[in-house]
Amino acid sequence: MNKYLFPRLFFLPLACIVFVNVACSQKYFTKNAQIGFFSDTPIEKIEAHNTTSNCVFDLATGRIEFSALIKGFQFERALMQEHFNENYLESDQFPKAIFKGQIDNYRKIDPAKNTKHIVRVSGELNMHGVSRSITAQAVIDVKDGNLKATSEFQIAVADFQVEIPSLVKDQIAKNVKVKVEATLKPLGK
Amino acid sequence: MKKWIPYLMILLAVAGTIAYMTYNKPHADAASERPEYSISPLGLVREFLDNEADANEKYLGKLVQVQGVIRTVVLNPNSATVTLETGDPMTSVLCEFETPAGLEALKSGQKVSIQGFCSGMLGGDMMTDVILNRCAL
Repeated sequence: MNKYLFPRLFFLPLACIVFVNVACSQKYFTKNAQIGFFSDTPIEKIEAHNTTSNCVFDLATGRIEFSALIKGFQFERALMQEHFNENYLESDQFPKAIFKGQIDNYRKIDPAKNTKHIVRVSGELNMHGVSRSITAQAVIDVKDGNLKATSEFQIAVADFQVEIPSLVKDQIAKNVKVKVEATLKPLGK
Repeated sequence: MKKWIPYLMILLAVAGTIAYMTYNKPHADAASERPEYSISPLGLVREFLDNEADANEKYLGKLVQVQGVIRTVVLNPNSATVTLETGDPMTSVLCEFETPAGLEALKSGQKVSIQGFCSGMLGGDMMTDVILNRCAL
């Protein structure tokens, strides 16, 4: 009998376990997801950007999760940022916005093939202590093993119990456009 | 001509100037203000992991100075992020800069002192970052 057989047999199951683990943990993530929102009224255009949001996507299950810190949204005007934090979203009390959702047709995403996929994402957005269902279309662009996810959708300010004082209600849109962009890399790289 | 008209006009001009200045007031500047706290990256992350609510109470919106070793530097066209080493690959302090200018020479492994406004903690079981925004070296 071959004297190398025993070590080989010993390592075979180990190799299988490692292989299976790698194949199952298809998590992708970024700490630099960009979330922007845009309030557009005839009187004033307001936008804010957050470049330090987290996003984790599990290609094995289609689960996707975003989290952003409210204080991480940067406005051009300090006064608006202050109102946004102190009066509207009350970020001392509710510091985070979290979206937990599911990509419907995730199985067609093959990280080995550079292709663009149009997918549907649905889930719950929790912000300002309120949870609301959200459904949006997103594009997942596979490029050299990374997934670039982009999406655009609208949210109604009133849905999240954000009270806008009547003095400025014409300056702030009732529906705010949200743009999301995240370049997700395989976890562990 | 009524005597009070010039006074009224001065009053309106003053009120208008104050309103205009309030509307356009600049952002608090991390570079020129004194930090309220100075702490190591590990110390900051630990406080958030131990009790997020207490740490939020203490640090949210405050100017925090962290002294430590750079883990990664990412320069974007209009922003930059520097992460600081905590000794645990799953946790870090993530510092966001509004411009990549002046950060070109930063390298991982280098010792730095960064101050920025604390926005809180992100992450969960998998990884945890404490985030500082509008940072300055």
